[in-house]
Amino acid sequence: MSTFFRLLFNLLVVVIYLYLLAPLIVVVLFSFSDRSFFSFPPTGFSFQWYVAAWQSGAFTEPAIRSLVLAVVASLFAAVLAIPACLGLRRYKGRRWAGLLEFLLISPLVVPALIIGIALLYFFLRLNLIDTWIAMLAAHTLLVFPFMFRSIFVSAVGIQSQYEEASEILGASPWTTFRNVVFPFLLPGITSGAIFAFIISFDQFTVSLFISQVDQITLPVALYRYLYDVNDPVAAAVSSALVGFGLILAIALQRLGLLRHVGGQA
Amino acid sequence: MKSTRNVALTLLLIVPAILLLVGVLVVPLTEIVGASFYRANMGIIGDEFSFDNYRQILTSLLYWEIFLKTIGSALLVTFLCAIFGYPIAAHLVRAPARYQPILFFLVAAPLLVNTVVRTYGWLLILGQVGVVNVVLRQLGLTDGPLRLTSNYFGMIIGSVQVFMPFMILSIATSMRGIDRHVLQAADILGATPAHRLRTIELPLIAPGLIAGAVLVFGLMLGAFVTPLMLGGTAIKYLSVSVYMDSMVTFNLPRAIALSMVLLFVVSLAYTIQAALTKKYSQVHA
Repeated sequence: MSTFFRLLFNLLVVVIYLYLLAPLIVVVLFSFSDRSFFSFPPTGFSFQWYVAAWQSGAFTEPAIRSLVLAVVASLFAAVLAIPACLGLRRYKGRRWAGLLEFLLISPLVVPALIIGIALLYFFLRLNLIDTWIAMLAAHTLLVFPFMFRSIFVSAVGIQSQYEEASEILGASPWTTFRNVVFPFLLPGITSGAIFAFIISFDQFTVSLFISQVDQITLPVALYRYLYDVNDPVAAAVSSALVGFGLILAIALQRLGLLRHVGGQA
Repeated sequence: MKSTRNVALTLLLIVPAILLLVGVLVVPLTEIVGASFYRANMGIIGDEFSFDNYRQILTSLLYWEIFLKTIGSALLVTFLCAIFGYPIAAHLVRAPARYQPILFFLVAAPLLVNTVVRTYGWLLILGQVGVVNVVLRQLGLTDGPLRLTSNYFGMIIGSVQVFMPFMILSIATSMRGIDRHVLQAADILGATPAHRLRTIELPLIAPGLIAGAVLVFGLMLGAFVTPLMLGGTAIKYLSVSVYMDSMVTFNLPRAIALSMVLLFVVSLAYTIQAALTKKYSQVHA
């Protein structure tokens, strides 16, 4: 009886795993199809849709834009988050510091849809819709909480004796920062940067609201293409994104950071 | 003297980050809250203060239908994530240590693939000539293709897949903390598996279950990609209505008023979670 239930349970687990992975598997299978319409089971094998995706030019520019945006937004967020963490770390537990901390992570609490609407209205009035500066401001805002949270943990852990020792030995504040404080922050900055990059690169909703033609990112370009054409070119681009996601996941697992992925959102 | 200088230095360090948050989030949010009190005419926002948008929304049966169906769908998605996420979490935590990294990878990796891509996968599976319809026809179970997208069915199927990893990881985290001896004690004392689950395991994983449920519920309420792509305008979903009002019919004030309702419900969910988490942490303290 017990073995029967165990078997049933394991079967259920396999089915649920298949359900979780099914959309990724189907997209990858379709991308190698030799027909322009979806058929199941898959027939033939070709790379033609990957070639077509590359040659269409509809995706290369958005892809480069997404990458650059993710890197620059993460960099800006780090430059703003590092001093904020250093300023707040000694006041952890105070009421006003708690309120400031909440303000700084609030982009996590407000649904992306509402941030999208707010920024659409805001940038419309400033005449900044579909501009690089608006995209950068929005992405910096969205990735900031991840950077801040990650660096703050490292910043709170720094023992003040190290800094005092550095000061007593005559180091300037800048030297103390560079040689004593910064190395302590580095792990937090690294994991913060990885998550900031992922959040920006995957961002869809806000980008859809505040871009039109010139500044669309890769997920938005893919969404538009799905509605306009919907051939395996979309599957080829999607498969590239699946591959990219899996490589990121492997890298995160190697770094021991994958368990933090579920805590995002 | 030194302390005033310290406060000044602290402020100097924090101010740039605060400027970002205030300039790109607080000000835009305040502006849209203000704008929701003005009437729109042909896409242009008027200058007469009124509660019209809220009155229209709160007195129309259509909008109440949207609210109730949205909350109902989000609750259903949360429930399904818990029901099907629980076995995966239990299996993951009890698996031999050397298989755990690969199982964990299978659960978490989909989270790193863009939601547009995952939803596109569901379009291919559930479409008119999709995997499900082809298999059903070849098995001789159906005559014509079943309509599996552009309705609640497709939206729920896709959304559960998109959000289940959050639930699994949340439940697994509190399961890891359970002392195995407690479960063995229950077995030795003759508890049936069902009894053990109800009286011992569920209370112990409750914090993870609640955190996961509120996370999924909040994410699903604000979710927009999957409801739009798999449900479309055929379903009544708050986020899709907000999108249609703002980007298609250009009634921005009404879209904003609608999204304020959404923000209210999401905040309510987080408040309930804070209260529940407090209660459970007190019980176990």
